[in-house]
Formats: sequence, C-alpha cells, structure tokens
Amino acid sequence: MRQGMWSEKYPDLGANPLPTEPYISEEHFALERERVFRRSWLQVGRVDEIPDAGDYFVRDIAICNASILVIRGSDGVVRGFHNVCSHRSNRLVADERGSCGGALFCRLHNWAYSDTGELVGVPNEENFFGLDRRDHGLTPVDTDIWQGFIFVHLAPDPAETLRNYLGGVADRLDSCPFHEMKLSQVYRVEERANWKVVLDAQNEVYHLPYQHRWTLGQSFAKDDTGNCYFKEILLYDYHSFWSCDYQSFQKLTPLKIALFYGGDTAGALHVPDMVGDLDHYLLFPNGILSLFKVGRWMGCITYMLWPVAVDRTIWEIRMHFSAPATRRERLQQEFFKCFIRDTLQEDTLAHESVHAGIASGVRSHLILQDDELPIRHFHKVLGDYAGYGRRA
Amino acid sequence: MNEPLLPDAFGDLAPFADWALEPERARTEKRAAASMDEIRAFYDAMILRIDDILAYLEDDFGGDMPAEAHRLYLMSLSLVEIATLVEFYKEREAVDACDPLRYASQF
Ligand code: FES
Ligand SMILES: [Fe+2]
Repeated sequence: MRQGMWSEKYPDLGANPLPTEPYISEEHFALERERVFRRSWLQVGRVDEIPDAGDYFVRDIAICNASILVIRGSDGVVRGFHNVCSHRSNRLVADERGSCGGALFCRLHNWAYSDTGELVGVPNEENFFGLDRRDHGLTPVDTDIWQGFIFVHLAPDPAETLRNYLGGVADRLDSCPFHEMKLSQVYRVEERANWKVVLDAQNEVYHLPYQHRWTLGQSFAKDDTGNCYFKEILLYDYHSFWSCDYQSFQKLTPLKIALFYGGDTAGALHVPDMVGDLDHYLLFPNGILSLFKVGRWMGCITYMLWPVAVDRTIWEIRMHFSAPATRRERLQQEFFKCFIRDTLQEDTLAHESVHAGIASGVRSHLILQDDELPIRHFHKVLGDYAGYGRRA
Repeated sequence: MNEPLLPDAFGDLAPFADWALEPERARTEKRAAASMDEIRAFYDAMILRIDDILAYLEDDFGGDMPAEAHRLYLMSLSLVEIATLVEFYKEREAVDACDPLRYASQF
C-alpha cells in the first residue's frame, strides 16, 4: 500500500500546501540572494574542464552579481577568484573559457596576474604610491573539490566545509566512478521562470506519464494505478535523494533494438551502491545530480539553476558519460543525450507555463501529494535557511 | 582525385549525405528546418541499413577513420537526432516543447 507512505516516513514535513508568494516576490528573491546563494557551496564545474595548467573557465553567478574565475595554476592546484582586476575593478577575463600561457592580462591597463593569482606585472609601476604587488593579487573565493566537482562559496569565511555541507550525499557517492566520466555536452537555456519552479519540476516523477507521455514518461516503472513512483526517498539536512526503476517492459523501437540489443556488454563498469536504475540527488540549493547505468557505461546528468531575476533562470544541463568502448556505445550515449534533451525541452515549456500561472496570482498556494514530498522538503530547507519570515 | 562520398557498401545512402553534419547544433538545425516527409525519408533509408552500419563502424580503421566512413558515422548521429520525432512523437504536431534552438550547446 503506497498511499501516504512517504509522509508516514517523514511526518515532520506535514501536509500543508505551499505558498506561491516566494516564487514571485522580489523580497523573497533578495533573501535568497543574501542568505542562501551568498552562504552556500555552489557547484560551478568539473576538474576535467580545465585539465592543464593555465586552463580556466568563468562562471557568472548573476543573483550575487558575481563572476568567478576558476583556473588551474602551474602548480596543478585549481583555484577560484573573483573575476575582477585589482587595479580599477575591470572584469578581468571576458571569455567563458580558455587557456592562458602562464599569465592573465587585464585589457584596460595591462596588469598581469600569474595562473596562481599573484600580481606579476604593472605598467609604469614606479608612478604608483608605494604599491606592493603582494597585496594586490586576485581576490580569492573559497573553492573546494569533491569527486572532481568544483564548488565555490562566496561568503568570506564559510561556516562549514564542503565535506560537512555535502554530508550523507558525499558518503553515498564517495566511491562512484565520476573520474571515469567525461563532460560530453552542456545545454544552456534561459527561461522565463523562477528558479524554484524549474527545480520543483525536476524533483518529482508524478508528471512523467502525463507531461512526458510521448517521451520519458514511457520509460519508468509505474504502479497499478499507472503512476510513476519513488523506490526510495532519503532526506538530509540540506539535500535530498530519490530513486526510480525503469519499466521492465520498455517501449522498443527499431533504433533502440539496433543500438541496445546487439554488441558486447561484457566488462561492465562497476557502479557501487545504486538504489535504482535512476538515482537522483538534489544538492541544495541549486544543483541536481542524477546517475543512471546503461549496459557497460554510465551516465551522470547534472543541472545547475542560476537565478538571474525573480522570473528569469538560466538552466544549465550537463551530460557526463563514461568513455564509450565502441562506436555503438557512443551512439547509445547520443541516443540518451538526444532523448533526454528532447524531454527536457518539454519541461522548459512547462516551467514557463507554470511560472505564468503562478505570476497571475490566481492561486495563493500549490497543493502537493505524497509523491511530491521531495519538493516539500526542499521548500522547508529553503524557508529555514532564507528565513522568509525572519527580519534580517 | 575522386573520393567516394560514402563507403562502397553504403552508396545507396548517398542522397542523404547532406545529413552528415557536426557538431550536434548543426544536426539540430537541420532537423528543425527539414519537413516531416524529409525526416521520414532519411529515417526509412537509414533504419533499413542500421545493423550493417553499426557493424561497419565497429572497425577501428587503424585508428584513423577515412572521410567517407566518418560521413556515415555523422549520418548515424543524425539518425539518432531525429529518432524521437519519428519513433516517439510520430508527428511534429505532437511535440509539446520549447523551440529546440533555444538550447545552446557547447560541443
Ligand atoms: S583595471 Fe585592470 S589594469 Fe586597470
Ligand atoms: Fe519533466
């Protein structure tokens, strides 16, 4: 009997509807900026994006007006800096990614910084007033790495380490072979929706057989009422986890048969400790990491939600796959990538449609059922963290 | 020198060689611009030969894929690109999604 089972497991979350105001109010958005995004570890990318000394990428965290430069130094260490020149605050690096041959130059007055962030060159240096280069390196941002994922924290002195912050999620995934996976595609789409609308939609499976009736909705196990369900839900201090299984009878198509029912599947990658066919982690506040396994390779999809304004979000979808052993496996990965991408384009349409409905102000609350419990948990954590009701 | 467009055994697919595109964005744009009839004709031609194509592409070509084999490989990626439309939605009208060109891709 599934009815109410998750609420029974997690009775503290209650059964109240969710107020719509936090999705549309500028005040709530401001609290999220100051108390959540400025005070959380945020995932910004992977170490394999910057394999060599001098490689860098820039990550804009629009909600905090921040631009972060993540660069691998000639000492091999990955560091994060504010992408701001120490002279008169010009944005230092203009491109999204690249590789510098040992030094970065500000285009305005040509101050030069080493790939480890020191100020190493100042034109007409004698004309400054007792300028000590050692005091004017790039402004560092707390940066840490877990399993190849790079995180930054914008607060001057983070209250907790990345490891503590990840807590039980890190414990579960410490032995997952992320290092075997390579970033294969990144999609970026700007949506007319609050970031929480986007997150909620990726945090339940209730909609799968309905909204995704033609696509992913046919892939996951359903109960005797025809609804998709969670095999497990685990809740952590900040984060949450749920898991699903594939349907045992998949919809077969000529291309799927050709790609997946031929070839060799020996030598499968060992993925320890997966609960279901799809394991889905929400990394508070704005990240999702989902894992799935197909034949002998595995895939990891991460989402990053970057709020731009209360009604604008950049959704970044990143696909990582373990190295394909054959071209058939490469085409299998292409199949998953395109199929998931096409499904997520259905979601994009729905996010904007839901946001428009909420913004119309017709309904003061959203109603949640038992299988939408992960959404309830996220909003509870967010509400506690942002202290919507609390004065600054 | 006259290079073959496609490997000898796949000469019958030559009319569809304009689907040999990279990167992914180029295939997505082709899919968006093509009519459903064009997409179905490409799908029908490719799916008949897909087992042979996959077997052919298992070859490692001594580490260096010749241009005509690479073209066939890119056409297979295009087959995957359009597969959701043909095998799942069946009709463009059934697609209830945002404009696919809104998704900017990196690779
Ligand atoms: S602002 Fe960068 S060198 Fe002057
Ligand atoms: Fe969805």
